[in-house]
Amino acid sequence: MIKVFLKRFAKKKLSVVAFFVLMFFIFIALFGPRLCKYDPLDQDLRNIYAGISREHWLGTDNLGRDTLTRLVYGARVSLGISFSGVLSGCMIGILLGVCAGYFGKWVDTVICRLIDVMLAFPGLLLAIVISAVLGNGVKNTALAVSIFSVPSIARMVRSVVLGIKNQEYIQACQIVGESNSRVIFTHVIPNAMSQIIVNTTLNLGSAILTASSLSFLGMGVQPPDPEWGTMLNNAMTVIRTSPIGVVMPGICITLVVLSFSLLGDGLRDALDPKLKNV
Amino acid sequence: MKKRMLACLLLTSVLLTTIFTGCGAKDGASSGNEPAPESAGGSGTQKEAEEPEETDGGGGEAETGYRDTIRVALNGDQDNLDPHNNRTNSIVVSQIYGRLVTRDMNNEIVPDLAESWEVSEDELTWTFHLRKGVKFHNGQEFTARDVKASIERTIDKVNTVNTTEAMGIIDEVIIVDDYTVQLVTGKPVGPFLQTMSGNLGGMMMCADVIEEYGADIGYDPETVVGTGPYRLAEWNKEENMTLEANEDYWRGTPTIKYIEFQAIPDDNARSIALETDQIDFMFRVPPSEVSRLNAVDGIHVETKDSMSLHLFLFNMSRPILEDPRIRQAIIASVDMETMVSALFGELGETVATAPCSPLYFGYKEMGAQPYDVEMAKELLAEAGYPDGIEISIMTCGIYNNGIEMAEVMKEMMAEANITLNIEVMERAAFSEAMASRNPDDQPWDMWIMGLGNMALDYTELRNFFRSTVEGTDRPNGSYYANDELDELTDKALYTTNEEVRQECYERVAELVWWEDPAGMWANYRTNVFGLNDRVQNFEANVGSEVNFWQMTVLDQ
Amino acid sequence: MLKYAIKRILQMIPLLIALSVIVFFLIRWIPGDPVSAMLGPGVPASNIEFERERLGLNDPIIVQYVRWVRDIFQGDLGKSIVSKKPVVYEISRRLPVTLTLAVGGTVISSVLGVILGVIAAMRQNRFLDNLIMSVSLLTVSMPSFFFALMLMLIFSVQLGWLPSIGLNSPAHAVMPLLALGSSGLGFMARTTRSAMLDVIRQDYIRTSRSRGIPEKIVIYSHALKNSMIPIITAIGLRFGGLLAGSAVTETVFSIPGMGKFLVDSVTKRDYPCLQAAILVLATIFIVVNTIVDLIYAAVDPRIRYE
Repeated sequence: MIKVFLKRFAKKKLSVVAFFVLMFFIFIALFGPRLCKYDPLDQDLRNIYAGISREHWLGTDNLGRDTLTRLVYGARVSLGISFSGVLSGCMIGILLGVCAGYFGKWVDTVICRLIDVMLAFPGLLLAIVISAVLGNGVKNTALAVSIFSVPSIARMVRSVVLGIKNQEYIQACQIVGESNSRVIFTHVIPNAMSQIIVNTTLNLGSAILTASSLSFLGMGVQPPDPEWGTMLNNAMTVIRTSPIGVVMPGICITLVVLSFSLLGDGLRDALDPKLKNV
Repeated sequence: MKKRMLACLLLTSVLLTTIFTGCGAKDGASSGNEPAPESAGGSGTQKEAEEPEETDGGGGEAETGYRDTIRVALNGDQDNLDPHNNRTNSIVVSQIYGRLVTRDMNNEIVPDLAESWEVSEDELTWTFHLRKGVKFHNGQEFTARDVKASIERTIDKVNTVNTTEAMGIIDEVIIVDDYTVQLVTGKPVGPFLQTMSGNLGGMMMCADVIEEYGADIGYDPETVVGTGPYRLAEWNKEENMTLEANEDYWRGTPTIKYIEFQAIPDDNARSIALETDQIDFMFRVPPSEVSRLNAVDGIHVETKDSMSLHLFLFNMSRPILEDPRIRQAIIASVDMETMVSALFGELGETVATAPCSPLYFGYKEMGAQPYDVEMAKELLAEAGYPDGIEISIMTCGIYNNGIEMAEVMKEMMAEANITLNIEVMERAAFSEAMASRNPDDQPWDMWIMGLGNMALDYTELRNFFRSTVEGTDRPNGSYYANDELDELTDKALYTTNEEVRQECYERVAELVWWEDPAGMWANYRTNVFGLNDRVQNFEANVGSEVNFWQMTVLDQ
Repeated sequence: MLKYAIKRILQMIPLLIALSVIVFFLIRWIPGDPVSAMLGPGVPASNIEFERERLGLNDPIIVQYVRWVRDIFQGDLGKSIVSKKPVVYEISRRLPVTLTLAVGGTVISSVLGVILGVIAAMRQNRFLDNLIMSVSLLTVSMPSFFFALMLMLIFSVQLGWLPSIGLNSPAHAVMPLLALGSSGLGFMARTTRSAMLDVIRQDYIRTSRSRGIPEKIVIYSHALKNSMIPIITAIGLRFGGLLAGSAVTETVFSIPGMGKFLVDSVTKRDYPCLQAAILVLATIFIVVNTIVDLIYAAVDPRIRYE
């Protein structure tokens, strides 16, 4: 199974490239800080908005901090928020979706209502309201991202569960007496896995954008924590005189989000049982 | 097939209806948007960004006519146009309303709606002789009755929403005749004229309007009635506001007939609007844009003094700050001059050299608060904390670079073994926290604050630091309590002897600056404006009140 | 079909009720209160208390909720705390702007997206496919305020072609529409591509080709038409998403639309405006979704019998 998947995936060259780009950024997030000369919080007030130089390969920001270092640490924060938020939201979403689909009746109704209400909030607004309630900061932003990711996964898992719930082999398991959780974990979830993976990958990308939009609006991650979105936002005021501060985080965000999307695309095609790739 | 067609039809009709309702309403809205002939002139007079300046040596064809509209961009819309309630800035209300006495463009107190005045022997009764023939925007004449209604509104003990503590010095307003009014104070008040000339509460409104509209004042042209050079013609909140010249303005009809205010909150968008000639005048130029905009052909930046400053107050309800040495150590660990120069240098802002702006009565230069890391460490050790302390600070982005200042302070304080934890609050949460007088709601050791009042008098420190609000139990915002300060500020308020007042204030400054520090002062602010070169005769006073009625806009 | 339609429409009602309850209570959970936000720091507590009393903000929450719901049925959405004007007035000024932008943005992203998606599907896995997929995703991967500012710098400053603030003329709408339209481009292109790929594998397409029918007709009249269903669904979702997701674009271009209104209301804790705006937008969104669901069910009977 895995071999087939890998073969199909390899055909999608763009997605393979995207995968390696992401690996690069994850590597930077995990090990980059050790390679950095500066501390991301080290200020140098006499050297603000410096351009590219030998001491500062990408210049400095509004308080004289080294941009390259902050980008590296920022990878950790941005990817950290994205992964922790989306993955935890995903787990909760799976749980909710399975409960709703499998147990049905009032459990289903309640969960469905909840999901629908959350999905009825137009886009970014849900993130804004959640963020306003929880407050600012890295942890709260991750929490907001987590809550934000729940509904779409829950709904999708639920529909998959509904789709196979009544199939014979499930009923067979139940007759034989397998406990509910066994059925769920061994049969239901693997079936939804491919869609979950694709959905999650896409959410990982959009989480970074949500976080950066939140900081544009004054919420989300606050200085001095380095986070790409906050860095981008802060540097926007000097975009005319010192564009590098804007360009670099902008490129990082765009690359990572783009890669997540392409990866998700590739995964979707490769995991699709309908064999779209001939 | 049929079903599909039905479905498509259904969706198309839904989309079409929304398009039509959308477009229809928009057309309606934009046709309602034409109070002045020039409002569409914005697009009409647009030039390409790189159009070269016409430098015709012989002065042959350069037009010398004037435009009748000036397009102004502010960084935020006014919250309302009720002068007693406006918390945004004075730029707009100062065009609409006048005061009995006011500050001119050189920050001197000059007669406005009152031609002359005198104070009684016991110094308790101020008699103002009003200017005759001044008309409100609704045609009514300005008389003593209006003075009484306006002032009583700001000292109302029941309906307190428009009151200000500063106006509380007035006990009673007596109408002597149509053009003579007496303001009676309970005790002799030193900065009386200053308060009347600078305070929000000093602005004069129409008595009939107050009666008719009460709390609804400030949002529609019918309720916004003043004696100023401009009247409110139209206001589309968050979109634009148009002021129209008051032809009967007692100083003379303004040359500029229409002022169009637009709120452009995004700094970059605002600068771009000025550069691409979509606006003529902008308030609040971001520091990084000052030199760049100045270098653009046809645009220049002007920096004017402001009466405001930033500071970080000590929360005196916190046990750790009881010992003045700890506060001194905190102050001494921060190199304020370098910080101010780095963050605010481009705006021409400088480090604070006294608790209030140099333009204030009572000012004496004291030099910046001390910076000495070694001394800071020693002070901490003396106070019993040789290994340093950990404190928290709360800041808010509504103050320019408020967050950045905290970041810098964190770094600097670390050198003196002071660990600073930063909490950033956004506007609404900040306001709520600051309004509370319950220390449990305010778990921070320091917080950011702005100080600055057009009264330009050190008595403002009394509002900030008197241990309780006079006549009540209510503590001040930072719970600061110093008996000597209470005595001194009371004495300085209730005497008109300028020497005594100056002496008192100099001592008060010594107290709050270093002896029993009330806070860490940061920077004196400036008001920075961006102008298109065609705008002439621009002046502004420290309260950012601009002289639109004297300005002209060349048609070039 | 009719039964299903009625069922779906009736389902909207409890959803709206649940939404109104959650919105009402959720926003009051946000720290910070509207009156102190409005009056700012440094104002005596008595002023704040007086105003809170006057606005009825000190009444028990249930009472306030009931009052609000009762007023809604009378067509009164309340008065804005900040501007003192009826919320209906505030929304009616901004909703047309947002609707216009949402429709325009949806049209742009749909037309361009479909075209690009078709091309990508036809050239699957080849260079053009990869190019289109990455480029169409490019603008979506950028933070919206970044993209909006780039547009402004290029078209307003460098080229001087377009005005950048407000919405007074068609020229003013170009950049905002570009910004909004491109945000849906990737999604539409992808959906189209995947729908087309589904259809192309089908036998009847192969049959048409082998019968010698010109490729253009095969693509446009057969393949595309039959992929329209998921595409229309996507268009519906896109429109809904643009209703409030444009907050950032509106802020950058100073356009007074619903998105910016929502964000401002959150910042100022203007409860009446916030509640009403969310309710209005969510209602539109739910209605659009329901319509899309109905369309989906009309053509795919399997959905109905769930």
